[in-house]
Amino acid sequence: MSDNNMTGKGGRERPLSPHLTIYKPQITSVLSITHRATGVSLLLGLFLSVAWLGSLACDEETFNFVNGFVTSIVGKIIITCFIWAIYYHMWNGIRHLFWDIGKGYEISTVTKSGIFVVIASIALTIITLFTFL
Amino acid sequence: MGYKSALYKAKGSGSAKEGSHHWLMQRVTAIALIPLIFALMYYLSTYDFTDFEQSREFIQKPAHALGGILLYIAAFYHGYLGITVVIEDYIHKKCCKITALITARLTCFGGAIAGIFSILSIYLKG
Repeated sequence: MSDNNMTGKGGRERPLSPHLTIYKPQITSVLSITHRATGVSLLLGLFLSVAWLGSLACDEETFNFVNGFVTSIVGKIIITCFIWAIYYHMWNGIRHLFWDIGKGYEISTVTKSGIFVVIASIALTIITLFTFL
Repeated sequence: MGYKSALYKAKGSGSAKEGSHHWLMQRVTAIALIPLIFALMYYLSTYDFTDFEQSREFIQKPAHALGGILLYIAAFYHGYLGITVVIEDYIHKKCCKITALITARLTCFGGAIAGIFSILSIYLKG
């Protein structure tokens, strides 16, 4: 009995709380972890934007070097992802601000606002890209 | 006497003694970022930032330079607060956690200053 995964060290039966991996992914949990993932990515993107600005402050040669990456196909895909991440993190952040003032906690509302965040972020990304790239 | 918690002890902070300021500033910077992000997206779609001269001329307008500086302050402050929470949640080994927290603090501060410095240097040369 001591080698099953409900047993802790020392051979005594110690029940473990159900871990994250046993739960079925739901829109609430997936959107929540996506908020974190986009947040961390956006901080990296912020540092990249400083690199771009820094090259703009240096001279045209340095700028063209960085710009070569920005305008490459890989660069365009990364920028598209960043634009979506900004919109997603912003709309989901607004959702969090509503929760902070105690609004929108009903399960049906949480689901609806989650779907809104996904649709709004994708729609605004497309609108921004149409004029940008 | 002595059986009531002093108001200054009961208000705000809880057993961790800190965190309410962190929580509040995360919200304040988040709210500040909303109009700044809309402005950023508007300009991203109306200007050609792949052109050296046009990009510099854009930043040389006072309102754009100011907006950029505000964006960098709010975004790096918000990002620093966010990454701090992520580090505290996922890194448990004490020495790694402290190293990561200090690295986050230094790089976010450095990044914000570098961004603001770049904007000012372009603005002042114009």
